[in-house]
Amino acid sequence: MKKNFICLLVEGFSQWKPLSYISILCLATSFILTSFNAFAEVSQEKHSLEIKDWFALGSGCKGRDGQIGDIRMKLEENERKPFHYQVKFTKGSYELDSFKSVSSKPSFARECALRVAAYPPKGFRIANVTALSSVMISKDKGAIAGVKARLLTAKGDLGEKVYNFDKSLAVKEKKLELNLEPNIEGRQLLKEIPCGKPKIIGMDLQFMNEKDSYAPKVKIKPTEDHLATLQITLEKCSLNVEKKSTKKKVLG
Amino acid sequence: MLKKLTGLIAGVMVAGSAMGWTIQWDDQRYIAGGNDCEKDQTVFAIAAGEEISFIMTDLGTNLSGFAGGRTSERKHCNLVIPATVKQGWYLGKLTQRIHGGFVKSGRSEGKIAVSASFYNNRVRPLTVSTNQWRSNSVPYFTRENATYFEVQPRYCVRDYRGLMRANLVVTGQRGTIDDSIVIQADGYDVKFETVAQIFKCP
Repeated sequence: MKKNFICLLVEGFSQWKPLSYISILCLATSFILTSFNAFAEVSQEKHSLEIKDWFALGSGCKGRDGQIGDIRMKLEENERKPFHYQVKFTKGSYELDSFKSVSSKPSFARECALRVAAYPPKGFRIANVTALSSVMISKDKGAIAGVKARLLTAKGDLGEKVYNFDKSLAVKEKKLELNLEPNIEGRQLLKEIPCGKPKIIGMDLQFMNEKDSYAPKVKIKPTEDHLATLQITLEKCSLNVEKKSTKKKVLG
Repeated sequence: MLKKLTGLIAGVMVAGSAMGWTIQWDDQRYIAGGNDCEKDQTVFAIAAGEEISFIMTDLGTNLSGFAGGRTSERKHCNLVIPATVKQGWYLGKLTQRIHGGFVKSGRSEGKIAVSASFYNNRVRPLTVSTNQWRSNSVPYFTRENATYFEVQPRYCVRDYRGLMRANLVVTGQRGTIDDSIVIQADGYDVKFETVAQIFKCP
C-alpha cells in the first residue's frame, strides 16, 4: 500500500503524541483511497461483450468459428448506445429452393441454427436479446410455404414468429421482416440471468415447403447478404443483484 | 461513514468472487458416435458456462416411399461430454431439451428418446413420441425435463472431472410400405440442449 506524502511527513514527527493519532488516520485514509483506486481501475476496463464460439449450422447452412463454411459472424458495438451489441451473420448460400431437395420428396424444409457463446464482462449481465432478419418469398399456387423463426437461450425459448402462405395463393418476391423480441416467458428468462454468467444465445430460422406434387415452385431466401442479426444488451449489475444471485446459490 | 465504506468494499469483493466458473463443459473433447452421428461432420457442439448445445444435422429416420421394403428404422447417437465441477460446488439440477420435427401418415409412428447420466448418476429419461400429437405433420417440437440431484460429499472436496453421457435414439415404424414416417425430414434438425445448475456445497 502506498502512503501519501503527508502521511510520511506526519510519521516522521510521530513521537509527538497528537501526530501519531493523525498518522493512524492517514494510514486508514490511504487504505481506503488505494481500494477505491483499484475499484476505479477495474471500472475503467473495457466492458465489452465477448463471443468465444459460434456456429450457424443446419441443412443448407454452414458456418463455424475458424472460417469454416460460407457464413461469417461479426460482432459490433453500437456506438450511439453503450452496452448494445450486434452479432451479424452473413447469408452464405442458405436458402430453400424447391428444386434442390436432398431426399426424393416434394415436401421438405431447410433450417439454420445460429448459436453464440456470449460472455459478458465482469460486473455486467445479459439483459436483453432481440433478433432481426428478413426473407424473400416466391411461390406458385399449389404449394404451402412457411417461415418459422425462433429466438432462444439454451435454457428456453425467448420468442418466435411463424408465417404460412396458403396453397391457394401465388406469391411473388414478398419481403418478410422478422423482428424477434422476447415474449412474457422470454422476458422472465432474461430477468433470471445472473450477473457475469455466459449464455448460449441463438436463433433458429426454418423455411418449409409443403406440396402434393413436384410442379409448384417455392423459393425462400434471406434478403441481400444478410442472414440475421442478434442484438444483445448488457447492463451493469447493481450490488443488490449481485448479492441476491450469490445468496440464491447457497443451500442448506 | 468509514464503516459504510468498508462494508461497500467488502460487498464488492464478495460479489466478485461469486462470478467465477462453477462448471466447465469441454465442448472440444466430447465424443460422438453412432449411425449418422459424427463429431464436427453431422454433430456440432457449443458451450457457455452452465450450458451446452448440440445440433445433429443428420440424425433421423426416413421411412417414406423411397425407403425400399423396410418398415422400421433405428438411428442412434452416443455423446460423451467431459465436465468439470469446481471444488465446493455440486450439480443440483440438469435440464435437457430436445427439438425435432416429423411428417407421417396415419398408420406409422416414431419417437426420439434420450437416456443420459452425469458422473454415473442417472438422469431422467426424455422421450418424445409422435403419438403425443393428433397431427401427422409437426415440423417443429420442443420437449424438456429436469432432474434434481442430491449433494454428494465426495464431489465437494476438489475440482471434479467426470463425464456426461447421453444416448439419443430415433426410431420409426410403419404399418405397411404404403405408409410413411419421416422424423427429421430433409431439413429438420434434431437439437439437444443441456443446462446444468450448480449449487454451493453445504
